[in-house]
Amino acid sequence: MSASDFTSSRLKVLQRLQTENGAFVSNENLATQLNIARVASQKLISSLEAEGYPIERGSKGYRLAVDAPTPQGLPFALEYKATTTSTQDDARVLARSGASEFSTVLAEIQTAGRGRRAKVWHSPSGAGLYFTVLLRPTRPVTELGVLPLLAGVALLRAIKLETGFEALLKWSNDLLASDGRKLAGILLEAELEDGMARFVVLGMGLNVRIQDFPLDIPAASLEEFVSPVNRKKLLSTIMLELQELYQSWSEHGSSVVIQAWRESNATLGRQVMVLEPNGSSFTGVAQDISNDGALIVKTSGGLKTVNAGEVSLKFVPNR
Amino acid sequence: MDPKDLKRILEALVDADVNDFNLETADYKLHVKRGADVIHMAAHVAAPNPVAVAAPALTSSQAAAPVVIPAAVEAAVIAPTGHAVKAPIVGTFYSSSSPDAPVFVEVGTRVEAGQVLCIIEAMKLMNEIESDKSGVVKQILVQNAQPVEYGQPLFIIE
Repeated sequence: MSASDFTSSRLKVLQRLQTENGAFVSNENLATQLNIARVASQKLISSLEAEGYPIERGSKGYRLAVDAPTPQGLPFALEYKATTTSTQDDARVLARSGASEFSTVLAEIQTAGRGRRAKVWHSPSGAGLYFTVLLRPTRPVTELGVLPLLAGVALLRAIKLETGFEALLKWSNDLLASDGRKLAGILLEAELEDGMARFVVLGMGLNVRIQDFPLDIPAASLEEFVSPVNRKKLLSTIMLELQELYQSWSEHGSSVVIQAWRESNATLGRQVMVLEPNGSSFTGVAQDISNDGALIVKTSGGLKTVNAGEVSLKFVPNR
Repeated sequence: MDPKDLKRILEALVDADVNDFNLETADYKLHVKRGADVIHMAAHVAAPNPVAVAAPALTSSQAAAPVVIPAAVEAAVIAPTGHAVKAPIVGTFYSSSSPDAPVFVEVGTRVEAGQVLCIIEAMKLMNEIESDKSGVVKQILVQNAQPVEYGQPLFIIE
């Protein structure tokens, strides 16, 4: 089989597995469909598996994991990848090619998943939801600062709706477990032009069932608290919540988001430590958020407004 | 004192790489410190308490009053000829895409319109700020990881 034949046959196998929607397909069946030897179709399966698609083997053949976040049946354009460097980079390519708003790229594995200021985001296969949504906001660039908060509220709401689990929403949009370990992170990147955003790429990373976090990362997975989680259904709900809140913001402006965030957050009223981008830090009580989404912290030296940096909530250990 | 004179003095100090300068005449006393510090200028007859003024207030009528000029404005005064790329939003200025990455531009870098000059973070939204003019970066007016205000000049492009 030539390299291009291999690639196109591989795609056909993947599409077949996706349309089967969690049902098993025998190798014989695949080989017949593609009109190739059984040994060849087996190779295609192995190659898909090696790339990171969550393929399960049973006595009746192969299938994609039942909760694999495939595009089938989803009401938005989804590019489903096994491995990529970062879905943020993929979404930028999509944006420049003229893709429509809410086009989404999801990868099972990110080899260079990143958070704020290029912090490494650990993203192993089949164990999380790592995706980037393309936005084309029509509101002025000075109002885009609430988008990170909007995304946090949408993610929090979707998890609650889909699993019943109530995560803690930390400014501006991290989701934490009740012991302070991180469940999800959100990063947005924008290209600006003449006071407007050409586009915004909104990346979300949610830990669903990661077993082996690097030791130095205080992270948690959703399935430690609610099990099992269907990743595809959760993705679908996240997108619905995101679209609803985003439409509302597009029409009515930031106040909608600020109000929703105030109602859902677990930050205001708490002791916080703020690590500023320049390396200095201070502590205080999170008092409020401003109309543009900045965190207002009451310190011994007066009120401080935080628009960037890492905020940590103070937790009592083993509470 | 004429703002043009102040500009000439500041330019001469930059050229000579002088960081601290005092000048006393019959009409006024001028103290200039370069870098992150401030410029103090007091008329002999003026009230002792310096007041802060915004950048546009540096006119001849007000220059005689005591002024405190932020460092960024001082730099803008020094090079008024170039094109200033300004912050379109409030946030935090980053000169590179990540702490380990090389800076987007340095003084002397030739840039094209549309080229990314810096990132300004607001909340957790990383905004790429592009040059709206082709030319050479003459000055970078903000240091990495520092807060910037809406409309604050960031770069001088010539």
